[in-house]
Amino acid sequence: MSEKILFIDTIPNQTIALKNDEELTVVGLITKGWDGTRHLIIKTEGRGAVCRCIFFILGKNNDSFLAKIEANHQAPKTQIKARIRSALTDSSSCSIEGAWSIEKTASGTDTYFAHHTLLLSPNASAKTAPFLEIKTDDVKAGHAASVGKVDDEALFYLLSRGLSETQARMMLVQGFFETELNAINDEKIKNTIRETVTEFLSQTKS
Amino acid sequence: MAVPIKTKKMLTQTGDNSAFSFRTETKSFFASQKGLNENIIREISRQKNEPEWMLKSRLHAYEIFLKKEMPKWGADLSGIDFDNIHYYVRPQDKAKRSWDEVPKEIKDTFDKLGIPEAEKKFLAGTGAQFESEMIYHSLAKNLAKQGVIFESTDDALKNHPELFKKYFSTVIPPGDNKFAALNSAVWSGGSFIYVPKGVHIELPLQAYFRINIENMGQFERTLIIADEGSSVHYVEGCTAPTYSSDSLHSAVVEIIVKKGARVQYTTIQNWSGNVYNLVTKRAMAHENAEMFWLDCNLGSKVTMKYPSIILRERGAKGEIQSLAFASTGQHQDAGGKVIHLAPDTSSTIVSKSISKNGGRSTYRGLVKVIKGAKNVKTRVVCDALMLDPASRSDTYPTMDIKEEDVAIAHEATVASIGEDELFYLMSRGLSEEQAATLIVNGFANPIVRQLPMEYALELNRLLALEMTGSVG
Repeated sequence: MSEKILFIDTIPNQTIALKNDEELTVVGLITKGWDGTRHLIIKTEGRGAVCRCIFFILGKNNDSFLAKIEANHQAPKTQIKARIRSALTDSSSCSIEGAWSIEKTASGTDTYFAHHTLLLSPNASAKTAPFLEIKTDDVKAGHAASVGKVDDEALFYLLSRGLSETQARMMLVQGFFETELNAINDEKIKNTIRETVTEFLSQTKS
Repeated sequence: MAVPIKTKKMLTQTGDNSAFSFRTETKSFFASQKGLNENIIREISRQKNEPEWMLKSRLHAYEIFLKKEMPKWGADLSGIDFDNIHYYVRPQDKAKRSWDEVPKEIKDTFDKLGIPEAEKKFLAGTGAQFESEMIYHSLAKNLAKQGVIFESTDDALKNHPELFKKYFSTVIPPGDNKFAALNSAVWSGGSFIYVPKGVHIELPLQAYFRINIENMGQFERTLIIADEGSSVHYVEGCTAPTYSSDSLHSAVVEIIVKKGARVQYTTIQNWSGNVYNLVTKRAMAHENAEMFWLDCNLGSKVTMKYPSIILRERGAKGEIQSLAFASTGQHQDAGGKVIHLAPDTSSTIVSKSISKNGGRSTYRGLVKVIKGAKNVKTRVVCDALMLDPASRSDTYPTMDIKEEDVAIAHEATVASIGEDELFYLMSRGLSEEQAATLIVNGFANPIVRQLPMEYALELNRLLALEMTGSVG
């Protein structure tokens, strides 16, 4: 019924199972990599359960973010929506497999997975595999993924307005994360994320 | 379909593929016994009078085939019984250039399918493969004069040995996968196309593949070389009659697109519901070359096919568009792969699939960008439409990016036919079935409209036919 927010700093090896009408928002502000693969499982076992995941990944040095996120819709009218944004500098790398499945019993499901990556250094690399398995027809399912660098045109525009390159880049990367912040109903968490992003960007040379 | 069939005939039929399910009684000139061993491979090579290097290459591929395991991913292949297949069936003694020389029974088969009327109408050249051999090949005279080669792959090995040896197995080596190895060991038939520098073939070249007997394995091998600045469009169509036991179709298609050349390869696959269709297709695109796969899969029991493009030099462009329709007992596991090895390369993958009556369709794709391949642009879109709760739709895209200076985008949607859409159309006076057919046609249209017009009409009719009785 009431929305819970879980604020974490890594992708945990964990199984989250949601019962009838349970609503959970998981916000991840992830700045440290790990060895091996993390495995997060989200299951909607009860009718009407809703889970929203919003992850921000900030990679530097040789950090590696290797994870498999499994979402399993078992009950009708459930939602699991994940939005992941990662910005990678130095030689950091991020590889996320999203394994989304909708069982026969989960009609009326609304599901979404998105992973957008911004590569901020020539040595950063990304792998993304948003998988979908759907076994019933009454569903809304979508996924999206993109990999790219800071948009040259946007950068040029800001430079022509008198910003330094560092300022302009910082602004664009902040904007990249800001899009997802709107979905979080907690000002304190939002500000923590903004501060962390700003600090992260000021440490990296452009 | 690859060849126009009279609409009237189509509309009186309601089953899947029934328009093509007739069988012809033919006497085979030679048929290998069921099963595969070294002797059968030697026999195939001997019958074809092949040079020593080809026999060696076949035997080497056979060794690889035995060593390789069956793929553990993708569709269920447990129904394939390698020992219950005729690996080589020769319907006549050699390929004909004149339609009149083709034996009557075989001619009847293709007449029923509409060949060679299609040729007269709008094709620059036609090939027809029956069982293991190309039984007929023709090419417009003006093209032959310009140095275009369009022959069965067997003939090309004899007539153009140097060209053949230079390119054969260079894009898909036998070790690529188990079925590529099998094809390399027992290949027979297929088309060989060479387009010389600067020659543009305006009209499409067509090949038509037909499996007629039961428990047949068809292993055609197609090799297309488009030399610098040339262009060609090749269309293939496939059908088979329905038998109680399964057949295997395992082709290898290699395409080399040289600097500034363009190749379009269009497939309209409508095998009957007992054919395993396991095909390896790959193109190598050089500087500023353009490769376009247009892949429509309607038939077969199981299809596993991922047309690939390797963009190996600067400025190369690749495009893969595919349409899959999976109905009862069918699994269409299709998709596409693009490997970006050079800067300024771009690619697009568009995949649309429709699942109905318990059918299963899968998109499986890969986009890979290596380090140093700067300014790469890729867009992947896959959409799936599910028509009932018994069907299944899967999407397995992978993006592996090792370069910063890229723009990669992927999106996918899965949906059923919306009730509000149906309601709107029905309030305009359409029946539920008509409305659903219209929505399915609209969904498939972005792919279908890229086909030559004649094929597009035929495919729309086929889709309408598949939709008959699907609602209500």
